Amino acid sequence: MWNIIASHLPSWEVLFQALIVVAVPYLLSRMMSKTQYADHPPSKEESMEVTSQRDFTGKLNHDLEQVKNEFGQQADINIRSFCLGHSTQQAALLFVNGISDRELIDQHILKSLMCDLAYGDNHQAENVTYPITKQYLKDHVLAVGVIKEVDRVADVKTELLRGHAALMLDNSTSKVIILGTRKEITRSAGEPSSEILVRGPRMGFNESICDNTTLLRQHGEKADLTIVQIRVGERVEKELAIAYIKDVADEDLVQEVRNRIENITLDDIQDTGYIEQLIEDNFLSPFPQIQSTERLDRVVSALMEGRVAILLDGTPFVLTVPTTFNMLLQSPEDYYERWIPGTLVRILRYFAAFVSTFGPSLYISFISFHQGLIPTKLALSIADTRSGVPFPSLIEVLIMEVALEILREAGLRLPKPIGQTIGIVGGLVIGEAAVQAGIVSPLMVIVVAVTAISSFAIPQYNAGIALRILRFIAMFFAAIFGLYGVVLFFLLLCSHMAKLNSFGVPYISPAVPYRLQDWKDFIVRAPLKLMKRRPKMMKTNNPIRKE
Amino acid sequence: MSWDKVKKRAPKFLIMLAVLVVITGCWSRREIEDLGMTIGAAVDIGEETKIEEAFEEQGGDYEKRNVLTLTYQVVLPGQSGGLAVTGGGRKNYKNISVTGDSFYEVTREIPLMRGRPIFGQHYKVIVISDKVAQQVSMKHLFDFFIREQEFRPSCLVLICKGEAKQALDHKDKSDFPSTRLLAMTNNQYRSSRILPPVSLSKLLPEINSSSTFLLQNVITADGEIKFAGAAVIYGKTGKLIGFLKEEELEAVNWLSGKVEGGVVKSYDEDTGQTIVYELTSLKTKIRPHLNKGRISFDIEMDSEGRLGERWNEGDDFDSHSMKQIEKNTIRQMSKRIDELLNKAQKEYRADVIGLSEYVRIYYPRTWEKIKSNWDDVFAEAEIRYQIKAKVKEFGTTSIKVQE
Repeated sequence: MWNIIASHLPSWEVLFQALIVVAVPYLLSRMMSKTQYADHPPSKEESMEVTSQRDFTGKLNHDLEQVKNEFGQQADINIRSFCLGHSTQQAALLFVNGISDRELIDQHILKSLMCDLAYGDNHQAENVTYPITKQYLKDHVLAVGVIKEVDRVADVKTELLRGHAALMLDNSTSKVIILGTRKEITRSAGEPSSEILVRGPRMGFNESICDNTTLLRQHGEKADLTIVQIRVGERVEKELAIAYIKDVADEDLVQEVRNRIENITLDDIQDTGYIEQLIEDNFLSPFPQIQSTERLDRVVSALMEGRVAILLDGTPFVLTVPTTFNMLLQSPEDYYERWIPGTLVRILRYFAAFVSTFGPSLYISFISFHQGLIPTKLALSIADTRSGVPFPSLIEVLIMEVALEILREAGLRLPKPIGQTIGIVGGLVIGEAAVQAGIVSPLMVIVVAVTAISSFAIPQYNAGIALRILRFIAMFFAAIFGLYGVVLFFLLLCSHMAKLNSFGVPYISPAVPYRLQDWKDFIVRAPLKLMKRRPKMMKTNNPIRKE
Repeated sequence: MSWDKVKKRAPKFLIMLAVLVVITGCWSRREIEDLGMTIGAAVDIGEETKIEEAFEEQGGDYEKRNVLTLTYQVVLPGQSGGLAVTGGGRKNYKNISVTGDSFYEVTREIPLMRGRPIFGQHYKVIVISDKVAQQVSMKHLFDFFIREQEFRPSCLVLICKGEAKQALDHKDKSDFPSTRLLAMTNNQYRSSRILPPVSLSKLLPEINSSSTFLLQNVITADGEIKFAGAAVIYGKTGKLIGFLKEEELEAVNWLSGKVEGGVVKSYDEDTGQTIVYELTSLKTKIRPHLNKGRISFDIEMDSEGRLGERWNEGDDFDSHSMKQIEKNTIRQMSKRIDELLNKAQKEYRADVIGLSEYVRIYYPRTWEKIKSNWDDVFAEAEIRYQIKAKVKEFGTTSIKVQE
């Protein structure tokens, strides 16, 4: 009796497998549920301390003391006390070393306050009445473009740290004059090294939002280009600009972008990458749902299509939303060259995207599952070359792919001249040696190399990364089910992409939902004479580009 | 996708994924180098090899009758390890013979002898010995090859006069024998004495409809091979009843219009000198007629070609001379066709040309009635034919005979 029951019980091996099958996903889901968001982020009012309500008194010594207290021990605050003109009226100019424009302060502000007021233009010097009022200084003396008054110590501090100078007068009103002396360290608008074109403007953004918006205004539309400034970052405030063309972009879209950005409650935003990750629709998707670019022309053309650009101070990368999958495989050059090469190159890029995703997985399925699908001569020579390889094809591919990824990562970090050496050492020497040593087969090296080249043919770096990740998943699918698994994975990918949205626009539109009109600028780049309308999927206010 | 949804779905999704991976493993994965890549097979009358006899003496015997010997041609992978040294060198292959009364069983005996069992997805040819084909019906012979899913349907079927094994073992090792046989069928543009290739997938409908058909015949001598005519497989029995000679096969190809190129050699009427007419195109029109229950055919052959070679005197630019050549050619072709028709209708009483197809298309109702004994009807049918030959060009020579 007992024996019969025992014979029906599964063996320990099966029970152990079942345990793993249940426990692993359960533990993973437990781990994931711990990393959830806080339900209610602490509201602004609560978190901000009720500080620095004290107004300035107008007594210079007292006020200076206040500012010093506010700054505490920080050494880089520079306080220059002096007398206005040849009077004895005390004044002080405060600025932070380094980030303020010293030349402007020395040559224009201090000089005009001290020398010009006393000995300069005769008329002026004689007409001065003491004590000098702030109004007089602002109206007649201070030759500075940006000027404003603040009355709180905290504000003075922020302005000082931003690079402006503060002027305090003894026996005056309780306000402090802030002088725009901010010095910006910027680069010139050179061609971005991450997105190089053969033909097209050699113009890219730099780290200053001022310069960037200027570039947009200079090269984009002038009248209707709207740039909305928002401050982001709870602790380190940064300027962020949302740019769109007023009578083209969909208002709902602009509002949605604003809402999402205003909901960001991070203390410090270093780069638009932070914003991208915080406002994207699906953070689990491998695909970038927001395009980031350094190229001016890319942003301008996106604006013209009715998209919205997000610029952040301190980074040359500008986000454009919504983003569709086809944008990631397009290059501005497609439009600069004539339509036939443009179209062919674009088709080539789609092919490269396919190869870079499915190359190694197809190799695995052909080698390990569907040997009958290879031409006989090739099959024989593969069998020949592989006869010394000790690993199954998956391991073989993994070795080479991982080596290649390491190589890519290493080459990226190294200075340019050494980077090339790494390429040669890695690509040629290791590849050749691996074949000689019989670790991998020569065909494998070809497959890996072609795949790698294909992934670099994709104009957007982050799209290339996404496809590279998917390549590894596809490889495992292929190793388990062969071609059937690759097809399954492709279907999985399709269903995921069909479900994905970027700011209300389906990710793979115009393929799904099907809009024939938009296909003019999809796989094919139609002649410009035929591209008369803006993309329909953007729901623009003004769809006509060209009569 | 919201975070809540993710949380809800993640366990399910992960369990599914884990089940998928853990339960299935690498389903039916076999690496390419672990396969016994088989590129050809030969079927002979059962006769055990010495090795088999030795095995059986030592107890490696099982219940069987020695009806057939199946020979597989297996490619041996190079022992070079990493880099390939193939290309131009010797091709390594091994012919493995097993004897028994079931193809399937003998095939599964091979895994008992070799690390790499037979892998049939790269089949190129199946060669059947004429002795086997005379005894066994094609239907039974090919049952295994068609039923077994691993076999490639595009695999070529050949008949070998004598021992079929010999056709898969050549002296010349620069190419695999199986691939050489396959490559030879591609030479139709150079010779009209090659039958259009019959693959397994083309063989199947012929067998199922019990119609007569031809298979390319191979002969062997001292490790060399040659395509020599065709074997006639009789529809009703599915067995081999005889052979057509090279020239007769050529006539069949003319009649059915399956010609891509080839030469017609004739002798000049007056001088007896050789004249060669090279066919560049041949179009055939076949029209069956039904007259009071009797079937007859009108076949029109319209050929164009070039003067390939002439040994008699004559002016290439003289149209009269050309006409003479055309006449000679037509006479030669007629002679051959007459011989063929005589052999097919009188001797074999079998439709080797494939005229049944035209009857089926033109007279479907009549066809239904006569299809069961079509070969007899064919033997009685009157076949009229008409040949046109036109010399379009005479090559690169332009030597005009001096008057």
